Amino acid sequence: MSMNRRKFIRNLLVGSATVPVITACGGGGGGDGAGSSAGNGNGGQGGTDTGTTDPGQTLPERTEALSFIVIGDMGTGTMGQYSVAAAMAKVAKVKGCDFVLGAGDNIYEDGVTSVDDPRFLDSFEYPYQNLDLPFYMCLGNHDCASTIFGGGSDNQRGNHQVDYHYSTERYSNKWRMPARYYNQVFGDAGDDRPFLELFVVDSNPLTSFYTDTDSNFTWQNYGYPQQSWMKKTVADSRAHWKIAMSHVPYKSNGKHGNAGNLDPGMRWMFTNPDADGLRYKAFMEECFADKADLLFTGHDHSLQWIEPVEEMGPAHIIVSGAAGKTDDFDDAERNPTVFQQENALGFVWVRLTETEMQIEFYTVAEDGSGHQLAYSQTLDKPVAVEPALA
Amino acid sequence: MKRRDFIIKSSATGLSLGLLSACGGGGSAEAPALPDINPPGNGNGSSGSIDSIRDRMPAYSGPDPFQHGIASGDPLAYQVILWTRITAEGLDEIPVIVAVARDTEFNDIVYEGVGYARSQSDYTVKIDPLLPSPGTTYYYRFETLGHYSAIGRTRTTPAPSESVDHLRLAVMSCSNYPYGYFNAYRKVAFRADLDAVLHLGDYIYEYGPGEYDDAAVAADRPVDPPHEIVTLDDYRRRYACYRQDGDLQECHRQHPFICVWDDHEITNDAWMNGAENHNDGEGDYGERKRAAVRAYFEWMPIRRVAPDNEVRIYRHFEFGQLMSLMMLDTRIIGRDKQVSTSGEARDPDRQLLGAPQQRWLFDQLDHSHSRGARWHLIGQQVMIAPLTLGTLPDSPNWSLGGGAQLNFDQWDGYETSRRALLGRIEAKGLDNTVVLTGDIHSSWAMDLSIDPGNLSVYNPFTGEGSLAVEFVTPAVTSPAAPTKGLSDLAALALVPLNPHLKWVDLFHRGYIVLDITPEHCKADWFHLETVSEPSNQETFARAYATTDGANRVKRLDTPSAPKQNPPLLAPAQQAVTESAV
Repeated sequence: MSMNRRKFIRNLLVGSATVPVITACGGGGGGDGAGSSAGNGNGGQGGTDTGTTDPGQTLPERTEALSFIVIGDMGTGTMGQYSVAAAMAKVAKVKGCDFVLGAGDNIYEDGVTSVDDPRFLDSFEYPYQNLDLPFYMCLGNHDCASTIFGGGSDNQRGNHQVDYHYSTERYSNKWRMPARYYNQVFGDAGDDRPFLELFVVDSNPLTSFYTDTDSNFTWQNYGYPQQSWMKKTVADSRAHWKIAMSHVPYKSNGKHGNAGNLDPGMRWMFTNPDADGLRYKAFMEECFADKADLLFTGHDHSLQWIEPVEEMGPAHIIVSGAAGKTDDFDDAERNPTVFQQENALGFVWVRLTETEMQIEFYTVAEDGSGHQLAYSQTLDKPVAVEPALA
Repeated sequence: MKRRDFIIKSSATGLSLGLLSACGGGGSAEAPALPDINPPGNGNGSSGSIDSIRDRMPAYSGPDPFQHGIASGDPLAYQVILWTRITAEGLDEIPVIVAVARDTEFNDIVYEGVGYARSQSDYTVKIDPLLPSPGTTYYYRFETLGHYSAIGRTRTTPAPSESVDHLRLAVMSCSNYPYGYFNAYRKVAFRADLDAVLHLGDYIYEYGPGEYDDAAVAADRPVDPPHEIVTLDDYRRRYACYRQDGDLQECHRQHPFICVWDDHEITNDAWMNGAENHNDGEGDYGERKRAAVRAYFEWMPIRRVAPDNEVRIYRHFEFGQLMSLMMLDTRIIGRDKQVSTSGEARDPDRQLLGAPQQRWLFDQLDHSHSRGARWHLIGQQVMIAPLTLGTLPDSPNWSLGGGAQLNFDQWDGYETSRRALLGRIEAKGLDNTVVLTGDIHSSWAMDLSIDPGNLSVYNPFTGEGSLAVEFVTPAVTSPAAPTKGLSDLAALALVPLNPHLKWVDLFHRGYIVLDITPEHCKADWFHLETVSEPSNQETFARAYATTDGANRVKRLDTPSAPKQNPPLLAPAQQAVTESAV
């Protein structure tokens, strides 16, 4: 693991990441790798190996700010994905970017079938070749599907994407998915607290259209253990910022809609009684309500900044699912929004300081002819800051 | 805002803020948990003994002030609510002394305290004493104005960590005074081995004479006030009317009650912001609900759960390692309005419990499981199991599934709430959940499956796939089917159409005795011969049990044997009615 870690750091140094981020990154290696191909979620864990400090390394500096880009539903390998990647590279260079969050559907249409599947290259490595940043990835329904419909009934397939994280043969060191669901800390907020902690949910087994016959992925064997782990991990987190990422929306004005009533027009075709996301909604609320500052999802191929809702507390809800495909809204009024954009490729850029978050939406022309800032706003940190931090 | 009102109101009655936070009490003028012999608001604040309270009793020469009996309820390991009401014309702020002893002779007194009967709380008195031992039967009596109350008997719960082999609970509901004699209460009163009595609501009915009664019985048992109850005074008078019933008084005197309201404590088919039996002519529903809730807290031996939420009654109890009991409010704290079609019943935005209660319930199930409790009991009002004219496979993806529901006031009308609860039990792999239900005036034993009409989810022959069980207790007096014949016919029709339904009796009134051991949770149904006249006759009707880990009901032929050597019943009332002076 230390080998990987060093490689990882070197890799980042060559790239554009800043040193404080690296030294504070803690969990980089993403844990022990044991059971990385086990069906049962690898126990979640992000393995925060905050172990010994390398000799000669300076003490971690307190993080002033972190910037990152959020993409989703990107893994098409088509021109659109390349165009978004080019725009991301430009924005990252101008505005700064420490890492990327990938909100699932990493590899269309039906994931990968082995750790050396060429689609890792076609849908990830080649498109993002010029972005030398760690990509923290989340599984989507198409990553766990065995048909192009993305029915999500083949969860086992997602394990190859975890294995790729640990592969020594992989093309670059960008791909970060230490487990099907995991946490990851970034930066240092002083007082031994991380600046940011990311919680990544594996939503497909909780909501797939079609029932997975693999009993490793039932609610009893997978969904609820994941929920219990996540709830405790979030509750125990001392991180200053807490952000959650999942593929299936908690709220969305797109055709997939709100958890609890997902895919209202399509469900008659589905076999999984959990396809409406009733239990998924409770999962998200029990784990993240009043704790998370930001919630990122994909699944609907649009860009949405949804206002906080009572059941989730102060968290701002962002759908970023337009980094490879586009779609129109189903009901633009379903949830009140700060900003929303349909039928356009794009991504979200976020900069967090101790007290504020700056969120920008970029739209991208499919033919690579350019990108533009569609919306930008800076708000106070949603979850109140504990006074001890000051 | 409400909280501020509450504090102002309470301060006006003389309670200090310190006391408020200590006793978690409310407008019902409870005494603090520890004996506080200084009457709050009494500037002289001297004296230090119960004797000095006796010395300063107001002069009184009227009749026995204990007209409405005594009661206990909401037992905890070291606490139990003790309740009485004082009827003394012209007096207010009346000190009431209570003594709690290990014996019926009051030789071994473990607690003495004082409460005050005030007009603000309709002269009801609640005291929440701290008692020395869990799982122990205590005797108590009140004293005021030179009179003693009858002796009551109550019991603390076993400590949560304690291992317990055997618990017995009576489960009751739907006691409509002018519809019959409270023979069921009388029979339960004499069961000395009960740990507590659960009352699942419809403890009173709101109707005026002739609206919902048996005319022959009502002639003998007229309700007061003689009209539908709407105002605070009305609700108080209705409780007072019921509490003059000797059978009900006797049942309260012998057992601690754990109560929740159903709709009729407010008005028929109540929900959060309205009710079937409420119209504009009867004023603002919110006001009526507040009046009903206030009278409930005054008159029922219930402990206020949250000081700043006067409507919250959902709460939990722990009976050692053997059982956790979660009592729900499916009626007014979170219920959306009833609908009338299956499609509407599936609206994912509609709720039966409301989000906070549902979160609480899931947390309690987690807590009960992680503390190692064997049985997880849920006491609540309306039937969870579907009741349809032909149960069909019921995937939530097809909004037509499930068959034609018969009663949208039950969980059938709140499909997502039911799926959320059963889905949680399924996801947790939680064994040994038992739901206890009232409301429907009849006896039912059912498996709880998330999709009972779907052979791949639930096997109606073996019960495999069932997640939990539901036992429905019959009414104390309220009727279901008018004759035994009609009841049998209906049962014959319903059982084959509802594969999870193992038994239903729609005719008899009665109650359940729930017998809980580490091996089983068993419901014995006892049915009364009649409620049209006072009667001592009851029969054992049926028993169904679920065994540890089975999560499905199984019929048994005999009732469970009572506990050996139960604690003595409190001695008969006549022995203790002399005046104290």
